[in-house]
Amino acid sequence: MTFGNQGPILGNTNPYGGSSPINRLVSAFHMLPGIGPRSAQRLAYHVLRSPASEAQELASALLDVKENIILCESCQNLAIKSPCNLCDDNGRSQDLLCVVEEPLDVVAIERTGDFKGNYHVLHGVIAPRSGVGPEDLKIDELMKRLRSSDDTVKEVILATNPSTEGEATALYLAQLIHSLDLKVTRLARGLPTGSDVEYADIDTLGRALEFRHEI
Amino acid sequence: MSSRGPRVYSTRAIVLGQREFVEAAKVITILTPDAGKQDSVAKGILKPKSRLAGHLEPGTYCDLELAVARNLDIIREAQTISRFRSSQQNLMRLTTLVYVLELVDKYTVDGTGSDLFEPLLMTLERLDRGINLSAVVHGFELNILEITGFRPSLDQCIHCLSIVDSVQANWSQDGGGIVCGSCVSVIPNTSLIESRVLKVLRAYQSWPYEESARIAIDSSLEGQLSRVMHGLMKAFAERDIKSADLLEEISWRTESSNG
Repeated sequence: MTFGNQGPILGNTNPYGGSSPINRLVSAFHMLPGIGPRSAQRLAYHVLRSPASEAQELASALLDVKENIILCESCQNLAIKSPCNLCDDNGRSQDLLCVVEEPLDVVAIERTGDFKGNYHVLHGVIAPRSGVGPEDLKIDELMKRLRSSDDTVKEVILATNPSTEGEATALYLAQLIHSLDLKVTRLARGLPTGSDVEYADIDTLGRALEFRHEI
Repeated sequence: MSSRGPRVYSTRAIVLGQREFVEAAKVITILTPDAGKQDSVAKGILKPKSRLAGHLEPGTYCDLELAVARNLDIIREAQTISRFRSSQQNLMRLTTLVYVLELVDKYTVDGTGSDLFEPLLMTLERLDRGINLSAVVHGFELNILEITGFRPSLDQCIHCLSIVDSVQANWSQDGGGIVCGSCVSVIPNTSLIESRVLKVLRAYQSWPYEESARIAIDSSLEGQLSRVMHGLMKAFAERDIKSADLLEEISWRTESSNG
């Protein structure tokens, strides 16, 4: 991967030349998701102004994560050992398995403190437009895990995003998992806290009405 | 004040897809009745309180208000007209929806495809009703080929233009149609096409939907129709159509589980 040959991110006004260390750093930050050219410049100049020890810590953390983070062989989540701490935790319920798209979804669900089962990370969703099919996800690993669970898993919660691709992936998985005679559930859908009913899309509002609950 | 025309405009649109963009924004690929396929930006769509998020999922038919920008126009407001909810709750129909969106995406470039808007909208509505998926999908495939100038030849030999009987027809995927017995030696990579497959494709190509939807299609015939049409769509698009493979896998699995 050659950060320095991506073209002049700083445009024609770049005073440092296309392959200068500053431009290389800006290009490197610009490659990160959600970082535009201006944010990349701000980050690069922040690093430049910081003490050398901070820059070293950043570089060392980047290398550390690439060298020492592995996939847990059970849940496929990012971990420093396999099985990971979550899979190794005997206090967690073995009969609930929550299937999520990305490792960050595990963090989000753990933050709620309401789920005490196990996880399985797919590392994406079926997205034909982006060339991602079922074979590119950790679906085989999920099915192997369920088949070898000796009936300990009683319910699989499909927690993929409520997007078109997330729904397609959930329906695809549900069809596979139903063949194992397991209970399959989907995360409920409704209005997020602080939102406006007026601006809710009809799908969300329709489902919120459909799955209303008594108070 | 610029005199280059309105800075804000409204349009109906069907969302073909999304991709990540900078910060919390996404690039939304839409098909509109006037401008065809175009990319536009939905700023802040990844934020939890975004008013755009639920209205710009692939396959959504919506009203949009866009602001003209130097590169990509910016979506200011979005209001769902239909999300085709029945299709969203059934694996076969949802995968078919994804497939037709991918077809439109692969068969158009920016600024083209406005004449595909109404056929696509009609297809999504029919798909949502879930009646005779075969006629809906293959009818749309033939429609898209016709509109983009790739109408397959299902009555005449692609080489000598003679009328070919459905009983003795050969099929050329790369040539885009049938080949008569006399010309089969000069056209490479032909294969026999079953009579009933050809008859159904001819009906889908020339009959109105209301009539062609009445044709009874068994799963074996549907499997053959899908193979022929998927091959043709990939050959003319000159690239892989990933959702076609997924559709075949799901059909096959559904068929197996139904015994």
